Amino acid sequence: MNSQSKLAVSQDLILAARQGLIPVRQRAWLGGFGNMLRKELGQWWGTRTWWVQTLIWVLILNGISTIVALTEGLPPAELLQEVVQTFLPMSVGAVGMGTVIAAQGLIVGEKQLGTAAWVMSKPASRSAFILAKVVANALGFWVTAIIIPSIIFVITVRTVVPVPLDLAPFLVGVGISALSQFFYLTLTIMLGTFFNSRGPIAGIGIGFVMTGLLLKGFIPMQVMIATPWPLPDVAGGLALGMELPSIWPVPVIATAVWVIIMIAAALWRFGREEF
Amino acid sequence: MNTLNGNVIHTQELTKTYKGVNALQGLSLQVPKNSIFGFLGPNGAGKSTTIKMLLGLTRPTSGKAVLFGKDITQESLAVRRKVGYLAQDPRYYEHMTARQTLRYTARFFYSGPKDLIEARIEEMLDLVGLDDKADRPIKGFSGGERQRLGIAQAQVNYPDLLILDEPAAALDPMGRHDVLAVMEKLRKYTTIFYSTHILEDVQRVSDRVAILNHGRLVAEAPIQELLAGNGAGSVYNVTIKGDAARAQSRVEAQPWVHSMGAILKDGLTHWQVTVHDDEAAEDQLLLLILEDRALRVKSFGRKTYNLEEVFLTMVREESKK
Repeated sequence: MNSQSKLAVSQDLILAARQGLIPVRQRAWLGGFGNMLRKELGQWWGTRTWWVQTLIWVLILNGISTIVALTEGLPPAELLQEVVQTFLPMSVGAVGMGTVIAAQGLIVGEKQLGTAAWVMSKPASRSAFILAKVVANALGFWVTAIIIPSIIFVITVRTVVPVPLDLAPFLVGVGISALSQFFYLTLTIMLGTFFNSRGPIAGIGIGFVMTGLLLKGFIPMQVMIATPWPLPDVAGGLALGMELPSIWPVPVIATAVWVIIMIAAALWRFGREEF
Repeated sequence: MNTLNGNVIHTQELTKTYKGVNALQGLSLQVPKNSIFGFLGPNGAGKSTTIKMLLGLTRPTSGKAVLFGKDITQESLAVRRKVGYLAQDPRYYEHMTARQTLRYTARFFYSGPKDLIEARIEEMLDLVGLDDKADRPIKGFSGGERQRLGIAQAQVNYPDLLILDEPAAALDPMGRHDVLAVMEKLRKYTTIFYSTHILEDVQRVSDRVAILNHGRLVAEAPIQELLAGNGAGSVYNVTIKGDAARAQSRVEAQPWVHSMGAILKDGLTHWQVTVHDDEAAEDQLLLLILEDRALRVKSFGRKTYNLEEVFLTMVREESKK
């Protein structure tokens, strides 16, 4: 710290002491993070968003998997396999698409409305703005679209299916589902920093999900394993303790790496945004 | 407060180019501490671009700007801690109430104590007359109410510098009056840098003025200086009783006199003397007239312009270049 900034700090403290207020002291790159995170969490949990999202995902994921669980004529072990293989891959695919649709306006909406410019005129860093969005929305989607439906799923399976569900492998499958959801969230946020309208964000995001769901049979394995597209199969397989190809960790690691790259790209691009 | 030679804002050749178009060209400006600095210019002159650069919302293409001795690009966050800003078209989170908006703003600056933060919010709501609407969502607010909330959020952190972009543009005459009154009240606590095209307001409250046109600085001066002369030289109005012909010849012969007009009306001679050198005119003009002891000077004074005349003349001259 040079003498000039030392002087500035002490004058700030004198002023604050005079008013009795305690100035916020944060690292520059994280300026305003706590405040913005609180606001983002408030938008999830202080409004109807959380229960609307929960209702949607419970109806879709638990509704369909319960219908499958109530199918008659299947032996219990096969029924369990069928139910898990429905719930987890569907939660990976559908939640991915739902995340893109629900999160497409997170950055673009604020750029278009002018609220991003307003926030950035305060002592708030651009990186903190992006990270607060990532953290709050990841938590929001994880709880409403993955954790709550998974709890309901476990209760349903234990009630309806006569074979017990092994919880530990199932949780690993849920973890893979959460990673996949995080991938689509960071993809959407990154696209929001590059584009100024929702069209390209929704188009690219949904197109990416659909490519994985519909065209995976036509995509070379070398490409597949570098994407999150195999994650529905990996999640289902791990949850049931099935034997998977030895390369199964590769798409998991690749997805995690993509998440880091996309967050870094979002931070880089938003840092250069001109308001 | 850390200032550079008593200036809160110091810009040097500040330039902004958008896709090859110069929005701002080489702006060099000094804004003294505790002044109310009017930043004038027609639409598209570069006023908002300048303000956005000062706040780190957009980056200069070249040049430099320093606020409180801190570089706007290197230490933007530290700069913004000391600044309150009201945008031209203020936007907030529509689902929040006025109180929540002020609380959200305050928490960028203060971590506590909670009761003092709430007291400051209450004080601001009271100042702008929104105390009765404090807990209503902003989506139901009128333009004037949004503007008043904007002023409140800009001041919540006791800013050393208040930057207001067209603060009164969207307001009715009463609203404008209130905004100007608040600005005058704040003069002793803070420096106010504001852009506007309402010249009447500038003339009423500003100490200094800068005029911008097509991204270029046309003039910067204390308002009284600007109103005293429009750049083509000072003009003195003199009313004389008696035969002023000889005095007129004496005055016209002076090297500092640019031109002179005389009208005879109601037995009085009315002169309009345009001079190059103000100091010489102040020292000598009256003495030259009074050399003729038969003359009586009924009135003598430097012509003052209104800001609209000055502004229009300067902008038109600059546009011709």
